[in-house]
Amino acid sequence: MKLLGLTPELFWSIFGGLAAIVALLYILKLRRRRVTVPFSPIWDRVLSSSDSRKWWERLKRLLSFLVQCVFLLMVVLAIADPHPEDEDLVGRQMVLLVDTSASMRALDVTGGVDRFDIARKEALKIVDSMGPKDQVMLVTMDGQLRPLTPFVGKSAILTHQIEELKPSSTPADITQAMQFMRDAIRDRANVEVYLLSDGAFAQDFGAAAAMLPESAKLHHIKVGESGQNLAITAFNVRRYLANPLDYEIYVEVRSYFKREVEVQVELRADGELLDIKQDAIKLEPEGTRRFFFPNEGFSARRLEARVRLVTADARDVFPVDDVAFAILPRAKKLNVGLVSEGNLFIEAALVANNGNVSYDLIEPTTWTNDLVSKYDVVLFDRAAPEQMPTAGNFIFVAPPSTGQTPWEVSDKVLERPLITNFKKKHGLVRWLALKSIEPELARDVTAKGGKDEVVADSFNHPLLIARREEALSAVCIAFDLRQSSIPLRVAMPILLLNAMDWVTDAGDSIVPTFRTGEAWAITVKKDDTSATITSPDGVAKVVPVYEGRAIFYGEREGFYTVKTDSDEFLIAANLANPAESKIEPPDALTSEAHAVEVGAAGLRLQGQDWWIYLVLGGIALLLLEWVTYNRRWTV
Amino acid sequence: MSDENLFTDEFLKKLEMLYIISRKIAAGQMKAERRTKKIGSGIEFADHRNYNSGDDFRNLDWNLYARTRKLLLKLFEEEEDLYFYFLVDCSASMSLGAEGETKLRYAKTLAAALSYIALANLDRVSVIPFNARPLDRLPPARGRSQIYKIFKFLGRVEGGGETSIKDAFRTFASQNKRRGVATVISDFYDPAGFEEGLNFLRYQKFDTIAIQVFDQNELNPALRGDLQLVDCETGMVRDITVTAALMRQYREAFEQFSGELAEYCIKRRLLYFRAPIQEPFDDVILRVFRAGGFLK
Repeated sequence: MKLLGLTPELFWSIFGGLAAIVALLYILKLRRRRVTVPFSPIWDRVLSSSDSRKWWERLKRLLSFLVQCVFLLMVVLAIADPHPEDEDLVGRQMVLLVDTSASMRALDVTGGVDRFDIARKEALKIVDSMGPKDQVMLVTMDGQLRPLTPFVGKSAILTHQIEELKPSSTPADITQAMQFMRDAIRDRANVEVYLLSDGAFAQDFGAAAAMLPESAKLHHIKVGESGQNLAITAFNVRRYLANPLDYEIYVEVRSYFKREVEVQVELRADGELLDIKQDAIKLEPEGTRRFFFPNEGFSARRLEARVRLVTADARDVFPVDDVAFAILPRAKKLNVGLVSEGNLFIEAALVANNGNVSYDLIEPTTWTNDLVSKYDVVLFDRAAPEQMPTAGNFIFVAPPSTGQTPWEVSDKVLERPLITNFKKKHGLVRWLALKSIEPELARDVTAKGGKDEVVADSFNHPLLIARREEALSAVCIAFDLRQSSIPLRVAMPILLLNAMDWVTDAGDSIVPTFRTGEAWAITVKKDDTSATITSPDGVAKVVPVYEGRAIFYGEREGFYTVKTDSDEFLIAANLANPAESKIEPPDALTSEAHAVEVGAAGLRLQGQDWWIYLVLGGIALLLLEWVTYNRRWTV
Repeated sequence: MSDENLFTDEFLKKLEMLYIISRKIAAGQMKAERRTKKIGSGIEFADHRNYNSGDDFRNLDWNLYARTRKLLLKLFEEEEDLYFYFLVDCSASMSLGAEGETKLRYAKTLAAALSYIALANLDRVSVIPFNARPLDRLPPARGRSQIYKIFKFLGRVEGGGETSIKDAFRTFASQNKRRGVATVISDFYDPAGFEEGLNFLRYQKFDTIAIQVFDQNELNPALRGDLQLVDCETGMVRDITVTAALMRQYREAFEQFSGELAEYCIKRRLLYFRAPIQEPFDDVILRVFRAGGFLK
């Protein structure tokens, strides 16, 4: 036996000193309580009968003293930390790689709340088994890899960290994790990696495990039992262009069951039930269904889709992806300033959209640039300002050569120009068949290149030009609307709405949702320098803004609040990851290049801590002494 | 500490009630209400004995001589006042315990009660407190009115000192030649033993009644652990560790002590009563009456 805590000399010194104190206490006469009795000869009779047992009393007292000495010996020996002579005291280098990805929130476990809870308990067990020379590194793995501790020998540090762990809503990246492992354990011997995970990875585990050095032992402690899951894998909402108050909603539901199940899909707007697909919707084994909710008219900001399992004997064990979130685009009524001597067709088109557009008719002679700030869009019909404003949204229809526009307008008039080229995908011409439009007259406008984009032309004579500057957006419709077939067509209001949407940058009626586990580039105003993003669980984080983009790594599904100096708005985030929703754990993780041991069967007490047993023995001895003393067996 | 307020009107009423009860229990009524066992010149025939020279011829039983031809002398009980001596132990052991619940106080109560009954029967009553010797003496008094004197005397009696029954009773016997009923009210805690003292009374022809007064708390003392016992009279010190087993042995020893006292009295035809102070005194008095000997 060797002592690690104390030298033999110190051990005997401490024990001898303490034993001497105990002996002194035994020798010292106990101060007894004085009690007056009426007739001591009766007591003498009693005591004289027990005098014959005095030698036994003395022996018992000696035994009591010996018990105290043995107790002291045990305590001092425990402090001295004894170990067997042949014990290998080279500690292990252990890495606890804890999977904190979304699939670990699955409930298909017994003995814990979810997969992660089981994994946490297993991690604590391993930490509890640490020997005196063992060192453990704690690493979590989800969309990001987080080494929480270096290699440490104090289990208290690890225990605290493990107890604070929480699973995220991001997919796991085993390849990234193994790359890190390879670098972290380089030049270390006796390495054991414990992977506490369900093993449901999107990446190739075999290839990832091959990165580890052969000398490192890899243990997989598997958690999770089932793969029965129902998930919303896509969820979008968009506003109808012609009627911005109505929405079309798209939901994609995927089943990971091995059999047919019936589901129900419901929509909630700001928490209130909006619509529900409650007829028996059957999903084939591992099948996908897409649902459209057209013409949904409501006023709300937050939209949620939920999928529920109707089949009675089936259980969805992964509730995280049963709900998806989306933000509705903000509807805004445009205030248009129509600078015209009067154009019945344009006014009719604006009146037709009076739910979304209001306008003021302004005589060209009364126009001043001060009015620009009053309107979202200024539409010049056959008119142009004397001085072109430097900021604002403008639409010019058949601009005259007099006055100023962002383009050069000559006196030349094009007669019956044919539309020879147009950009089909440009926002200005979506849903339009321009070739059927037959303008009679068009102004000869010259695009300046660079910031100008010619959307349609007639033999290189621009007919539609879109111009975007830093503070200015402008669209030029070179032909006179009155002298074309377009007023008779449905294309007339659409062209104007396209133009207004484009200059106000409101054409895209879909607010994008974000996916957890990715770096989000959130569009904010360019003047903003930072943004405060509050996650669904109430945690606020300030992130910097670069070129109008706030970069944020989102880990939780739900609604986030983005607040900048000039604006505050919501964004939505979903798991939306079919690979992570496939939560079924493999029977066993295998790798051709590296052996994987299942479970922690090889786990053992590397260092034999005898001191624990010594302390326990000492406590037992104290209890024995206490009982015997109180029963007056040892006195 | 004296017990001046021990004997109240309420107590006196209780004694009167006890006296009425005692009259029912003792039926025989004589001139002096009570008679001694002394053989003398009374008119009540007591026994015969052989004639000896010098005897008075007038007492020869001639009828018997006519039948048996033997000279036998008739003996008569002598009628005289009966003397009651109440020997009250007032040693230190009698004063131990909570104030107002001491054995001495209880002993005084018993003595007062019995005195009242005796006075009411026109007997003479004397009270002698003692420890290692008679401390004082209330001369024999007669008549019910003397009870206040006895109350006052008992009220003044204070406890203390060691017990020596032998010395005290020897002195008592030498000072009181007139025989009578000697009622000893004591805990009999005498290191030298109670036998010799009681023998003195017997040898001097006193009708002896022993009332052993004790406290139940002495029988079951609340003692536990390591203690130093101090004898309240002798001051002897003894270290002891009290366990449940030792307490059991102590109770057995106490019972053995009481048993020895009772056995001594029974064997010598002395009346013996055990009186725990927790028992109402009138119950003890009635026990004394019912046992006979005190009331005749």
